[in-house]
Amino acid sequence: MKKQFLILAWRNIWRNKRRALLTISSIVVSLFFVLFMRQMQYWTYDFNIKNTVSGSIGYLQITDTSYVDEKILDNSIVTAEVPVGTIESIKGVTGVHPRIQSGALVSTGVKSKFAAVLGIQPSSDIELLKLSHKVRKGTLLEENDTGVLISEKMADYYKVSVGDSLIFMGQGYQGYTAAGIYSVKGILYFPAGDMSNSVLMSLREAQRFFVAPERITNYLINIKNSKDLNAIHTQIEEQLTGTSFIARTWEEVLPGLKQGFEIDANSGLLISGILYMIVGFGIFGTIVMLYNERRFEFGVLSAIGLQNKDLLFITLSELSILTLIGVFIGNLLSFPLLYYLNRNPIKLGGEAANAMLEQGFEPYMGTGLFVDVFAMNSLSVLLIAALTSGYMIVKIVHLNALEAMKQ
Amino acid sequence: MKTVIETNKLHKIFGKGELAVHALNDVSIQIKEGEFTALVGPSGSGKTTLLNLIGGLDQANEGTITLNSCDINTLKKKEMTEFRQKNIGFVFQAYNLIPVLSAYENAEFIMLLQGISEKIRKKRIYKLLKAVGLEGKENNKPGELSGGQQQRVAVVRALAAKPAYILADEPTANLDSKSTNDLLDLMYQLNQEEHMTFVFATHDQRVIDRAKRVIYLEDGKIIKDEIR
Ligand SMILES: Nc1ncnc2c1ncn2[C@@H]1O[C@H](COP(=O)(O)OP(=O)(O)O)[C@@H](O)[C@H]1O
Ligand SMILES: [Mg+2]
Repeated sequence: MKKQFLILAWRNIWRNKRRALLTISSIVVSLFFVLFMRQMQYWTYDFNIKNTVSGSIGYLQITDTSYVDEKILDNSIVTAEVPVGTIESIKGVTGVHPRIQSGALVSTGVKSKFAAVLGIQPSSDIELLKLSHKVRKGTLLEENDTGVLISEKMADYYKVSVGDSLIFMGQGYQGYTAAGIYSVKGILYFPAGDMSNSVLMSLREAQRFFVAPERITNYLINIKNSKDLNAIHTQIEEQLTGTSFIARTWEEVLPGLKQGFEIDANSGLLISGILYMIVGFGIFGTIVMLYNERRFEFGVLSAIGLQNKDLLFITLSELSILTLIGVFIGNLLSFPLLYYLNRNPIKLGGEAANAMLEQGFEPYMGTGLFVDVFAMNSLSVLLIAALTSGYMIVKIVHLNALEAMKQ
Repeated sequence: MKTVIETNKLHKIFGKGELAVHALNDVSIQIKEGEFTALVGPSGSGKTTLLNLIGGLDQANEGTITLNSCDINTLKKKEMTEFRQKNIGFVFQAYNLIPVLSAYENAEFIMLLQGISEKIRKKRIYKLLKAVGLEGKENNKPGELSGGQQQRVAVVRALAAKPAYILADEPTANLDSKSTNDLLDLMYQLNQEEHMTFVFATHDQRVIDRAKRVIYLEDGKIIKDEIR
C-alpha cells in the first residue's frame, strides 16, 4: 500500500508541472549560490592560513612567556632548551622552524628607515615562504648566507639593486649594539602587507648581527590538517610544562585575522539565511496552493475511507520528494564549478585584489569541497521544508471530510 | 431482510439562536438490504443532511443511528473512517475521482486500502468496468472521460469493495438525459444482480420514476414514505 501511496505522490507532484519546476528551481538556485559563496569563504580562510599563516606566524608558535607581552630580543629563547625533537615527532606536525623576528634601522647613508629583520632557515623557509616565486632580481639565500633579501618596495625606496650595500643599525641581545653592512643578494616581490617592509637574513647571520648566538625569538610549528590544531596544541603544551615557554595558536597570535574570518563568515551566514527565507516562503506558497486546490479531493478521499495519517503520508512524500530533488540537483550542479575552482584557483587583479590585500588576504579566488558545507546547507533546506510543511500537517491532521468538500 | 440503515428520532440543527436551522426534525427511517430508495424533496429540505448522517460523515444533535448493526455514536473519528471504508460506498455529485489515477486505479482504490489481493482486484474491477460499459477505458484518466463515464467509474469504485450500501447525493445532477438513463440502468442492474442497497438524494424526476421506494422530505421532516 505504501508503494501505491508513493506512486500517487509522485504523480501528484507533476500535476502542476510549472509549479513543481518553479519550486525545485528556487531550491536549486539558492542552494547553488549559497554553496558557491560558503565554499569560497571557507576555501579563502583555509588558503590564507596555509599560505600566509604557515609562513609568517605558523599554525602554532613557541616563544618565551615574556615574549607574548614584549616582543623584544631580550625575551628570546635558547634553541637547545626546547624539546624540538619530541615536538617534531607529534603526529600531524609537518615542521618546526626557528626564527628571529626583530628590527633595525636600515640606511644607505642618504636615506634611512626602520625595517623588520627576519632571520630564517633557508633550507626550509625558502619553500615555506614560497620565496622562489617571489624573486624579481638576484638569487635567494643559502645556508649561513651573509647577504640579505629585501622587498621590491624597499629597493625602490633606497634606490638599490642586487650587489649594493645597506647599513644596518639596531639593538642586540641584552644591550649589545647590532651593526653591520650587508649586500643585497636578491629583491623579492611580496603581495601582502607586512612582508613588504622586511629584510630576510639567514638565521645564523641574524644571530651574529643581533649578538644572540644560539638564540631565536620563536619556533613556528606547522601542521598537516587545521582540524587537528587544538589537539596538537594540547600535546605541545604538555611537552612545555615546567618550562618558561609557551605555545600559542595562530588565532591567539593574530586574533585580528581570526576575527576577520569570522566577520566574513557571519556575513555569509546572514546572506544564506535571507536566501533560505526566500526558499521557505516559496515552499510555503506551494504548500498553501496545493492544499487549497486539492481540499475537495482530500475530502472525497477521507469520506471514502482514507485515514488522515495516510493522506499526510502522501502529501508529505510529495513535499519531501520535491525538496530532495531540489537539494540533489543543487549539489550536483554546483559540484563541477566548485571542483574546477578548487583545482584551478583564479588569481585576481585590479580593485578586488587590492581590497583583499588590504585585508591581509592573498588575492586568489577558489572554492572548497568541504563536506560539512555541502551537508549543513542541504540539511538547512530540508529543515526549512520540514518547518513550512507544518501548515500541511496541521490542516490534514484536523481534516474533516464534510468541511473539506464544502464548495 | 436485514435492516442496514436505521435512524431513530434524528434531529440536526445548524447554527445557534435566531439563525438556527432545523435541518432534520424527528427523522426515523429503516432501510433494508436490497432496497432502491430515493430521498426526495425540494432544495434545502434536508436530503444531503440526512445522507451525511447515514454516511457517517456528520453527527446528529439528537437521536440514534444504527448502520449495518453498528451504533456509530460509539465510534471515534479514526474508527468512523474505517467503518465508512468497509461498509459504505459513496457517489457524490461530481469530482469523485482522483485526477492522476486511471479509471482502473480509481476503481480499485478502496480495495487497495482494504488490502485485497491484486488478482481478486483485477478480476472484479474488469468485470465491473465491463458491466458499466467502460471496457477499453481502463487506462484513461478522469480528464479523458465524459461526466457520465466518470460517474460510472465512481459507482464501480463504490461497489467494488462490496459495501453494505451505497449512498449517492444527486449523482445525476451534472448529467444529460442519456447519461442519466445509462447510470440509472446500471445502478438498477447492480441492485438486481448484486443485491446492492442504494439510497439516492435527488430531485431529478427521472430518478424518482425509477426508484422502488421514495421517501419525501420537507423542512427536515418525512412527509411521505412510498413503497412501489
Ligand atoms: N453546514 C451547514 N451550515 C448551516 N446550515 C446548513 C449546513 N448544511 C445545510 N444547512 C441547511 O440545512 C438545510 C438542509 O440542507 P440540505 O440538507 O443541504 O438540503 P438539500 O440537500 O435537501 O438541498 C438548509 O436550510 C441548509 O441551508
Ligand atoms: Mg443536497
